[in-house]
Amino acid sequence: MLPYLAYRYVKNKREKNQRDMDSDLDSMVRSIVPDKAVISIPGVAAKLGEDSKEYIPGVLSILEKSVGVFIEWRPSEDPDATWVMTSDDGNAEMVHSRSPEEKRDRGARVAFSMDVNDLSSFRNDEPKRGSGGFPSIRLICRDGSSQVPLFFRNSSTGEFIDRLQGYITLRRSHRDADLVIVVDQKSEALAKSVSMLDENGDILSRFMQNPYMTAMTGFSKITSFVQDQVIPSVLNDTDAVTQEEKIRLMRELRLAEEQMRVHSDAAGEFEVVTQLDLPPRPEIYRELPVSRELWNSFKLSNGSIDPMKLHHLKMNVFRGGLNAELRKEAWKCLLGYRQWHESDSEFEKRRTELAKQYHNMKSQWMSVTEDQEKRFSKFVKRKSLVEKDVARTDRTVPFFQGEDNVNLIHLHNVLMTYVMYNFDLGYVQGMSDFASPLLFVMKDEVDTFWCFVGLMEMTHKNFEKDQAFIKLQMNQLRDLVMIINPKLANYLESEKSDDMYFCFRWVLVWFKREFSFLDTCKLWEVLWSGQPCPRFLLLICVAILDSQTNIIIDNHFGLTEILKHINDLSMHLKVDEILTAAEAIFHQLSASQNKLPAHICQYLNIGESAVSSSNNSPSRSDPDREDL
Amino acid sequence: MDNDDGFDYLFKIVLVGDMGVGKTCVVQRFRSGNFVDRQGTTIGVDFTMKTLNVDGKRVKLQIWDTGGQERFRTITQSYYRSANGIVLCYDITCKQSFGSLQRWIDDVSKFAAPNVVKLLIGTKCDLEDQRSIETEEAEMLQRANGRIFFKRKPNPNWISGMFAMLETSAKNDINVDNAFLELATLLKRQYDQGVLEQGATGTFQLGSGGTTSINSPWQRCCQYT
Repeated sequence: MLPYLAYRYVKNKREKNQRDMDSDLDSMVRSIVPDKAVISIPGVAAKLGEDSKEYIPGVLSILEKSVGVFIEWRPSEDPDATWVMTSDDGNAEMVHSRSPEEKRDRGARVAFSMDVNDLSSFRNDEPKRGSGGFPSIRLICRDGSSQVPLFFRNSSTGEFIDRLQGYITLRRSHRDADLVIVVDQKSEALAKSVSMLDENGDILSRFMQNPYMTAMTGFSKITSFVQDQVIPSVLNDTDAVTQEEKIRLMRELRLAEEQMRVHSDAAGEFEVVTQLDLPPRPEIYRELPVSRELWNSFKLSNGSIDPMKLHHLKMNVFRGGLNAELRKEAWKCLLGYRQWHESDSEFEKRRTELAKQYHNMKSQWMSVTEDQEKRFSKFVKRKSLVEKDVARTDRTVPFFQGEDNVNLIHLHNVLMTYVMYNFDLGYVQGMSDFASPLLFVMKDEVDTFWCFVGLMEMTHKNFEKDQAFIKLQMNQLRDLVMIINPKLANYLESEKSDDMYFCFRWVLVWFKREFSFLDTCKLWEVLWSGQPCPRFLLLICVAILDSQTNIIIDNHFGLTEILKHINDLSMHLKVDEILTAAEAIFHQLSASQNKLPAHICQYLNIGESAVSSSNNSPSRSDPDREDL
Repeated sequence: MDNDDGFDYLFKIVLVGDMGVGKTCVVQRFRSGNFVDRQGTTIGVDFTMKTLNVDGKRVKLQIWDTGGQERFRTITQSYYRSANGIVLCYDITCKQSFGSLQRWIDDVSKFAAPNVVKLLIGTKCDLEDQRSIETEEAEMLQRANGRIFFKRKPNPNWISGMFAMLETSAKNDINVDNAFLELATLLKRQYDQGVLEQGATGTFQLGSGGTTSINSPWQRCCQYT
């Protein structure tokens, strides 16, 4: 018996309520029938992370087993299989730097075997013509998790997809051609029957004109009803409705909605949902990182930054980030450790003074004896938190790797001294994430500490006990999504995810966990520039969420699946794409500022309430910077 | 219940406990069979899935790993309020993490369903030479929280509290799989009986499955003799 048939046989038996036999049959079939590989494609490589150039070669297969049909990816068994790195032009290079154990370990970590019935959708990206890249597939599961992207080096993805269709029904998303969705047979049948009823699509317009609707406004949120139920059904409708008709319907729907809103506003019983026609997003390009030469051109002869050019300099940092070798100098200014207007000699003088202060505070905690600790529980508590976290912060980054790494001691000292600097706040998880890139760049305890103090000025509210600031940012994020992408906002609300808590990690540690170490450095300096507006961090969140709209909605993700999907984006986001998207969104908002709710203009500092920040030299006491 | 999704039961399990007790290592060991040391701290929440075979049925566990710092709990709780099982974790080498358990127990009773099944685990039991919590101490705590008596008319009902305690090591692979298997078994039985009683009386009551004494041969690690 073929394995898949055996599986069907077992299943049919089950359906006849022979439940007691299930396990016997299962194990019987399992022991008799070997797995059958329907297709096995070699040369399918897994990519570990977006900015990583390492691909692990392996084999992708579809297997019929006695318990079902499985999609599996395993790293290549050849122990000498070389790691393939491709440069941006698609040329393959061979890498031999990793030990066989390391390769095995990495491969095993991303290997998977999943039931086809757990597949919800996949992204099928084709390389740009002439780019020399490879087509890829990223499988997305029903629980919201995603497998690593798989790159097809020797073949197209066509055969794999064809074979897959033998077990599940697939269709491309109407909204996103790269997204292929597994169709739930039952709901598809329902959709078809609805669309037959609704041959001309005008059932919707009739629906909208129905006076019964007006009666409903009094006790339901009609906007979200329209957007949750009606608009998706229009969008998801099968080919029965033409594109033009859909557009016409959407327009009518919006008009009708608009009237209802006005109507119910007057009644005062309606939650006003802001919906604006935003201008199209401008195309934005990232610029080259600021070089030392360019940086120096902003300086006066005494080494301070020319106040007339300060805004220009910040815009340059915003648009391109910094050359890695410039970070050591520039971060001190961006973090307020060195004032923009300070000359070299002024700063050196103050730096000596600050070094003294640092050593004072350091000796305070270092001189606490074991005996003292017995009666100093608050101190001991903080100390143990620091020790626990330092041991596991960025340990995969070479700078912190290995036993007895001296950089861990420096990191520990910086964080312990901060505990003495701000004992009330103490140490909170996430702080070590902020401190480690600073140490990596500064390579000096004193400089790292004072940069950290500056960074904490911007972020300490994230760590306060009441978490009010995190919640505030979540609310602001929801407001922004409502304006930029109301469809997504309403979907999130319908899935009880509109508290936006699934973005908690993003906001708490400023995307430290979502990007590689070096991409994080790039992202942070862009944020520290304070350009083009405060809370640019939130616009980055909006940009990422916006890019995930179709995946979230087309997969019908619920509360937990949304969280899982967002968590699994980690290390697979493209920092430059996201920054340009966020900047484009800023321009959209900025162009519609007179239509935006006042509170949004206020926290983005745009429109009439905007205060020009170009001439302010940010310092640690500057309140704007705290709200960055 | 029999469906095409590859499982017969789905239970939500949440790990709680002080930061640094090793919750993520326990979850990773269970999920992948590997011990990954020095992973970053967990910020917020995340979950992994694993399907076990219990009494011939496929029991899928959705295991929620949480960041241990207390102040973030209001943000993360919304995700695991509907847990079926809770794993309370403490580190056998860290007195403080044991001392915090009462706070975690209180917290669980505040946000979780009253019939949630609780399992107490001591982590890092490979570090015998650094032990600061004796097994007996933890067992006492478990027994003290073991059964909660709910008086319900017309029939009083036993509701399970913390049903067992065991010491584990993710590093040496001791008792990790057992912990989840026992939890899954208990949940399945409880569910089966709940469904039965629900059918009989029309109201959901927790069956005696909730307090079934479990005499399975757990591997007792780090025996203190």
